[in-house]
Amino acid sequence: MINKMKDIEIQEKVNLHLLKSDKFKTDLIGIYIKRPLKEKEASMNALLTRVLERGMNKYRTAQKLNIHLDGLYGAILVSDVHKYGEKHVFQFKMQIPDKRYVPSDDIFLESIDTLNEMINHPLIIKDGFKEEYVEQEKKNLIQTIRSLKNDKSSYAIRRCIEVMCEGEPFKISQNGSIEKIESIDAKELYKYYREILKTSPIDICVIGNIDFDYVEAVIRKKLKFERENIISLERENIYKLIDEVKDIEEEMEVEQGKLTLGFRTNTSYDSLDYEASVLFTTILGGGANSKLFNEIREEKSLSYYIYAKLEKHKSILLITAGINTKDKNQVVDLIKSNVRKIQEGVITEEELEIAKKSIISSLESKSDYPNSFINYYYNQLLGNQVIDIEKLIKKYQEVTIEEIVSVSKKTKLDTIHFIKGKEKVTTNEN
Amino acid sequence: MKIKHKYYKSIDEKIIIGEHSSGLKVFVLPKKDFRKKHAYFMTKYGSIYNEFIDDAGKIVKKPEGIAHFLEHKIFEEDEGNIFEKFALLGARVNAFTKFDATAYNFSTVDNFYESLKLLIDFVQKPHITDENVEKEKGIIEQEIKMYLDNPDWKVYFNALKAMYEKNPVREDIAGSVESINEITKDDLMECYNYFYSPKNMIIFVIGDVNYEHVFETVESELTKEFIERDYEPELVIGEEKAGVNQKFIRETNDVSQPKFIYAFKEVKKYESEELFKRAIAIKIALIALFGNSSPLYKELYELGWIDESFSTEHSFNKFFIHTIIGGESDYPDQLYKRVIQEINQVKKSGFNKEDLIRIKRKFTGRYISSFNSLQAIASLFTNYYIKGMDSFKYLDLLEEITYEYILEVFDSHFEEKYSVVSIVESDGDDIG
Repeated sequence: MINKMKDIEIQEKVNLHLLKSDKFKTDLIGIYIKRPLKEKEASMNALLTRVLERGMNKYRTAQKLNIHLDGLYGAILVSDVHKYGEKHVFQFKMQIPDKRYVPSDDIFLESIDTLNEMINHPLIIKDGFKEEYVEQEKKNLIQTIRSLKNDKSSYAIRRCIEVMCEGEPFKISQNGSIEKIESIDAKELYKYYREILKTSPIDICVIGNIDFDYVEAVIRKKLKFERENIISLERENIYKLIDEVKDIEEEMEVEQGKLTLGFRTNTSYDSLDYEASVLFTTILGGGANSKLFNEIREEKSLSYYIYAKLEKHKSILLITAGINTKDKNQVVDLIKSNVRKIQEGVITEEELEIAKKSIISSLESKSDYPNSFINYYYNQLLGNQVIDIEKLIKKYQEVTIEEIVSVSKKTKLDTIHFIKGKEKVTTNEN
Repeated sequence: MKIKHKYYKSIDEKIIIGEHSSGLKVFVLPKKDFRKKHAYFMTKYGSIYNEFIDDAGKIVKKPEGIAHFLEHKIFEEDEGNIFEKFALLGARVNAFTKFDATAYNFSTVDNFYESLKLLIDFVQKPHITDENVEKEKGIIEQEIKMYLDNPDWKVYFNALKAMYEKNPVREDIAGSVESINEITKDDLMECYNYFYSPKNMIIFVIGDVNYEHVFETVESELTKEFIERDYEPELVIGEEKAGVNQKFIRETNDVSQPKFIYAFKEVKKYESEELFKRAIAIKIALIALFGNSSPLYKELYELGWIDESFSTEHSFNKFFIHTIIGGESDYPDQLYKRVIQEINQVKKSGFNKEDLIRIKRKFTGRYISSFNSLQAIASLFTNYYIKGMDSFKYLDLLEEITYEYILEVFDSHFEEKYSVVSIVESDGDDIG
């Protein structure tokens, strides 16, 4: 249970969100900096999160920072970037054990100090970040992008999005592109960083067994941002006319083919029928009770995993499965026929009830996980509407089969993407 | 039920243990104010139990992957669909098979006791037929192939195969496409009757629940047939030679950068608390030497030999003990030499005492923080219970560990001659 919440604007477009719960053994601080999703910016943001972790004025090397964090009872400090629709969010998270469990009264104060060092006092040499760090992290980030293809299941989904969203910002990956990363230099990066700190909307969420007045006072005192010409962000375009379904095949060294289908739902997250589109996704491919799981796995033994997921901010529905290459056409037809069934109204009351219960249960238990809770909260802030969980549950309870059918009729197939196997080589040596 | 209460002061948690007359143990960890409740029904039967002694004293050998296959088939019902029954209660049911255990679990916000009944009921009443065994083979084949496409899984199992010649830990948990095709309904039922017995199983419950109500529910749901199953199975593990099976194992796969694992095999045997304490000491040493606050990590990261994927892991139970150092690197062979050099250096010069104190402090904080997550607590407790240990004694053991003890354990565990190298790399003409 979250016992109490409070939202305060502490500086222009710097909003502090305090969430109190005494059931956790930790305090968690999340700082979210909101940017538009653009190729060069995404590359710079992703690189920044790595460079900032390498050195700051007070802790000039990552090793010194890590020694400091060990001493704060294994505090965890991470910075990374996330893609929410066509927004790119630069995040810092810090988790510490709550002071009730460790012999340190100042641990919260020290954690805010550390965050402030990382954000406001990075290691600067002659108007730029340390060149050596920037070059090393460029190399590491490029390697991270290349390594995405190691995990074939998630690589398949990414490739489907790239093909489907050609020409749209959503195509851009959260780490940007290798080409853009290569072009970044240490001075330009620092200049850009100063700029985004000033001009971006910032949200700070703190969750734990916290005293609101104390936390607010500490943050106001220790964590200050320069503010100037704050940007406003455009919302995603979710509509696109589909002339012809794209059907793309790629060859890779895989044992198992990876199939992904991308649909446009044409239903935005702030429209009245959004909840119906979530239920449509769940009934179709949300777990072991879904139509796709029952027919393609349980009845026909064609796959081990098959599921559907919804990209909330971009209104894209993705269905993905690992199958034998020879079964591709059969599985595509089965997916299409299941979508068609829903469009024709073939949904039982039981399917609806199961889907509702599963969504509601996951909403009700959001408050059990500090990190998911603040991310969920932030996600709502991004959509410019914070709805309390009870109200949201009620909205789901009221959705009817007719509403789901009408949402499903708006859903259009855009892209079929398939990764199929080629021959591979194995050698052992003694 | 014989009931016992235990309180752990350092983490401020309590656990209530009920022992049924059949030998089944039920553990309840109350967590006030959490919305979700989780329950696990677990058997000490995993992928390494392919060879065992039956009640006639005869050694029986089953195809690899049978424990995992059985896990899939337990979900078969005489009538209706078990996933649907849980879903109608608002609960989500799942299962997993590990080396040494199989668990069936659900989580739910509402209808907890109804769901608990359902869990106990379906695990006690599998409905396995020749027909549904055949049908499952296609699904499991896809599951095996999914793992074969995962280079992390490959580099890991290759390391196990390199270390062990006979120990069944070297085989994939799901078996192979060939081995699962040999499995029959009779094999499955034989293993079920043997390993799904009260003395070999536990129930673990965590969440905002009433323990008395949990115990009553369990008692009312146990079947006569289950209660009377009196086996305590015995496992046959082939005697392993002291050395490693194969020093180097390399495989070509479509990876962007070589993946490596260096594994150190423990050749001596340890049990229960000594094993636990040694494991903690080894983990402290690993962080001191290879963690992100160590001088070596800094050196290698700045050289570009490692990235943040560089990490260590220590696995232990009474059937196998080993340490793994892994990650991604363009120089996996040179890196291996550097790692061995560092180990030998520390054996001569010892650790920095301050580092060890700091790492103990880090472990304390991390352990306490892990008690935020009900799933994390459940897997911590049950994993250790299966190994014959009480995981909640961690902080006490951590406190007890001295500098000298870490040195001694380190010295005996890390031996170059008992280490192996597993590498998965691309064939060279396809970088990027």
